[in-house]
Amino acid sequence: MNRSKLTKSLKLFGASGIITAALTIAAVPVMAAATSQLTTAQQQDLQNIINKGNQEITRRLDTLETLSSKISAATKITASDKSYLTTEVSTEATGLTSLKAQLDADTTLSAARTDAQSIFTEYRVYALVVPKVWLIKTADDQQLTESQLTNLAQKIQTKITADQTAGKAVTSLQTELNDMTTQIANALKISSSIETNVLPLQPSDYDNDHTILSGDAAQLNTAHGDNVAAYTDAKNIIASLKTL
Amino acid sequence: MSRNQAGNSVITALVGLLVLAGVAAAGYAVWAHQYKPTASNQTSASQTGTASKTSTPTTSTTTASTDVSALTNDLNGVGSSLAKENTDQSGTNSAINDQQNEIQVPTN
Repeated sequence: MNRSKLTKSLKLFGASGIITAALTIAAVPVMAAATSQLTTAQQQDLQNIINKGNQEITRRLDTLETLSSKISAATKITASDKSYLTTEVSTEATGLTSLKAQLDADTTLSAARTDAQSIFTEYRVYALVVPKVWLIKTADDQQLTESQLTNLAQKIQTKITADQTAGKAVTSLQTELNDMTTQIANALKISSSIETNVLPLQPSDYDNDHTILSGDAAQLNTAHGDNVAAYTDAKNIIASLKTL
Repeated sequence: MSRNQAGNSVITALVGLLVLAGVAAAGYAVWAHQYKPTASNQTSASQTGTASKTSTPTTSTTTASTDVSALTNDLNGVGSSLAKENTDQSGTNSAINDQQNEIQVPTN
């Protein structure tokens, strides 16, 4: 760039800067007067949106607080996963609190509508976060049950082997124990998979695909059924062992 | 007794001693083979001891019932966890149903 072009650019930059500054200064009183420029009906609409938005934000903050307690009470979940979920819920709560302040300060209908919409388009508390935590909590508790069932199956195996060595008829019991082991494996496969897949999901993932969680609850229900079947096997085996 | 006769008697006595020693050695070898404490013999002895202990009916019954009792306790623990799963399942279903509520929030 030669000297004359540089001088021209600086002049243009200076002119545009002055125009921008002038527009900004002019806009301040316009924004301040925005609310007063609304009709009475529009002002009422604005206040209604703000009130409704605040209600929804408060409802979500209460829900998130309850969720935090549930995450803290989770027993099987790893420390890193627990920390991840706690941070996620905390971030959502902080963001919603800031959004509430922003919504309260809105002076135009369009701004209020945008902020009110973002309560659910950006945070997805009910669409994603709440079901996500519940799904992980359920999968977490199922894995605890599966761990207990695995330990029980091992003890039952020891007992059956001892009875077999003692010459007792244990063929049917062994068959039932094998089924118990299969049921536990099936349940564990589902519950661990759900936890792994659901944990990293974010509101943006839900925005891209509203069906992102569909079927997860049904799968966990299947896993629960497998655990119940394993429990029933164990119950029958133990009842039979008493009579051997 | 002539000198030759005396020599023959000594030789005969020595041969006799050797035969006795041979018989004794062979006998010891047979005994050692039968009663040497090999690993299998030791297990057998241990099993005999265990059989002796468990042969008391009272002890055997107590052990078996204790085993089954412990299994029953564990089973009860699993039952409690399954009840917790039911609560979780209910909460998850409610949360899934609440998904629709968020989409329907009015802003006008």
